[in-house]
Amino acid sequence: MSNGDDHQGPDGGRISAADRASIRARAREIDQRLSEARQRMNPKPTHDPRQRGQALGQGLRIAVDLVVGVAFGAFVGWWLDQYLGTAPWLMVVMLILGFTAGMFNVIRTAQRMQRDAEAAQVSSSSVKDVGDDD
Amino acid sequence: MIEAGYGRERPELTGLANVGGADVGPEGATGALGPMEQFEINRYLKLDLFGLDASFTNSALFMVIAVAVIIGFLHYAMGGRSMVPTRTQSVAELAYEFIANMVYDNTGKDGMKYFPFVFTIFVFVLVLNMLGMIPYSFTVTSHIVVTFALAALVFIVVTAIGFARHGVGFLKLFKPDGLPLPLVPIIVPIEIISFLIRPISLSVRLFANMMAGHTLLKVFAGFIVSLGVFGVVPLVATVAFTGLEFLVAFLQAMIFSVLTCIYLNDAINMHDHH
Repeated sequence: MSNGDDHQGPDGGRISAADRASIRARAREIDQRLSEARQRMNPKPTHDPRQRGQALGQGLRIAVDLVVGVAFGAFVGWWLDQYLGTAPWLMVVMLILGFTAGMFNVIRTAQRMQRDAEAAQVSSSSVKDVGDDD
Repeated sequence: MIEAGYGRERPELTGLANVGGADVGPEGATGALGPMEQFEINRYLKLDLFGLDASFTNSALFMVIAVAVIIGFLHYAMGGRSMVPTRTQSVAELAYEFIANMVYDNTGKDGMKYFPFVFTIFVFVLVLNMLGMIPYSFTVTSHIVVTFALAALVFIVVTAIGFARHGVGFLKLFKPDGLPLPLVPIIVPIEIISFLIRPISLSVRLFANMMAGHTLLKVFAGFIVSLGVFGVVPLVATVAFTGLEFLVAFLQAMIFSVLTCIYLNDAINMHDHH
């Protein structure tokens, strides 16, 4: 960064042409190394098969949680209704509770995944919303 | 009259096919290519324990094979116990380290006590899944009875550990700290349900993924024959899906053990710890 300033400032002629050329070359080299480093920090996600597998695993983990809560709530509510003779009411209540419970599990899983992802990239500045950690 | 008689006999036949007696196979004669046929249970050795059907089935056979493979492999791999590991030894060490890190990352130092439990579950599920990828073999984990039994084992162990370590205090898992009093009657039942559905989602995830994947493979493979020249398209898809199935087989074993660790962490450290 400061190299660029040096080069910009004394453009009046205090620096010889050879010096200027060498400074330019160095600036170009730094620029190239910077872009290389940047690429290393954020690799394209599709290029890393391990990351892809991890993403697949996360998807498989969450998908079932969504369904099971609703199904469990509906079944238990229906069964209790049969048992107690309280027509549709317990099923409705349990359906909603089951859905919410499934959502709870999904949110918890997602929070954990985010924490893991943030812990994995400590090197990069991860100052994203820390507040919603439970 | 004949119609009625036929109609009454049909369910009996399909019922028999579902149970899959070793001697009669009415489905096998006609629907040898059915995609669901691979999940049928066959009894090899009929056994009746006090009215319970405890026959030795193909499912049981593959479980025995899996246990034999695991013990045989680990024994063979670690037999040399050399400083510079051989190829098989490094595979065994890799599996050990993979699970050891997983348990440590998720449960902390206290959880390492339960490493053998998690390792056993991981290796058992992984080998069962992988055995299922061999053509003409049987995928034990594609049956919800098996996966639910495993998940129930995890659930019972975790709950027992929780109560053993925290006593009645373990029930505080259902009432998060700082919960406003008016919300207690709503949140506590939800927390209890979300705790109770864990073994269900744990077992359904494994069983559904394995069954769906294997059915899909079989269906696509069936298209290869019936489409003639254009069967090249499903052939390519089948090859691709086979690769994906291997990945899923590994991932499902990993997910099962990761979740076991997470549940163990709840029992050991009560939610907050990482």
